Amino acid sequence: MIIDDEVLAVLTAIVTVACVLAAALTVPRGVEPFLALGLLDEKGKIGDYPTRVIAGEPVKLHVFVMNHLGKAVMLKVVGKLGSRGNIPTNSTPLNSTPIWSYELILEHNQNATIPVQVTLQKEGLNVALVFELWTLNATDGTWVYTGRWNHLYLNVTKAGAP
Amino acid sequence: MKYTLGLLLFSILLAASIVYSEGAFLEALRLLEELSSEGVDVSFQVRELNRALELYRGNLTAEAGAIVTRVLQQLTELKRELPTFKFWKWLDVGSRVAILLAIPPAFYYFFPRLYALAWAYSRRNWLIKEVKKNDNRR
Repeated sequence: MIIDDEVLAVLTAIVTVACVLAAALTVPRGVEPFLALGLLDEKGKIGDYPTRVIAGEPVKLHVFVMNHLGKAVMLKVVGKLGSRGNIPTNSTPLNSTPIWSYELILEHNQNATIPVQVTLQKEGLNVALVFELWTLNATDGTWVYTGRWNHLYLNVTKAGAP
Repeated sequence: MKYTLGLLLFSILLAASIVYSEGAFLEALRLLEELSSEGVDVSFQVRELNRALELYRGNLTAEAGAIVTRVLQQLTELKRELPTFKFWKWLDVGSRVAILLAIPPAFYYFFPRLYALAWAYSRRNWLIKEVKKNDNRR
């Protein structure tokens, strides 16, 4: 034989490893399911968030949502007002009336950046502007809290105040 | 009285249409989740349902309901084709894996033979010359 047996064995081993690896990658695997919610500034970027706003004037932000559940889902972002120490947890949403909401359907691995404009009427210090992510249970039509939320503390002042 | 009855009838019809739309919307969403989890391309239907949501937000219920009904028909059709889709999908995956796993034995069998052929082909112009035992010339 022109090729030495040992050389052929080594070459076959390399080819075998490469092919088994390729076959393993070919078989579809389940995805690591997660949902993401992010708060962005007026320009749709991280940073430059407002800290002081004037009551009655609109606050402009963006909310980033991503679906990585392995299927298309209907999501709802709900804006609420809280305060320092009164924000949602991973299991319970904030017990407060929604001041803004937006519903959308996202495919797997799809994301959306939603412009938000809310007007805060009441003055206050450390007002928490909270955004919660909810998902629709298509079987019974109920909204389920995903445990994902963002918040931004704002000082809401009167117009003309220093 | 006539106007009150008319208004009541209109309200009942409107409520019924919204309830129907919501039922159709939920059914469409349920099918959308099922089909997308199986890998069926539902991008168009997702875009259309998002458009319907925009119309619902603008209180254009009739237009939104028409879109939802159309999307539901498309999704029902896709659901009917799901077993065929799954069969071809798994056949495709199975074929790829089988081909990849067949490469190593094929390589082991054919490579030495092909190498020998290539070796012989590259030396096809060589001449075989008899060399005398005491002749040091090549």
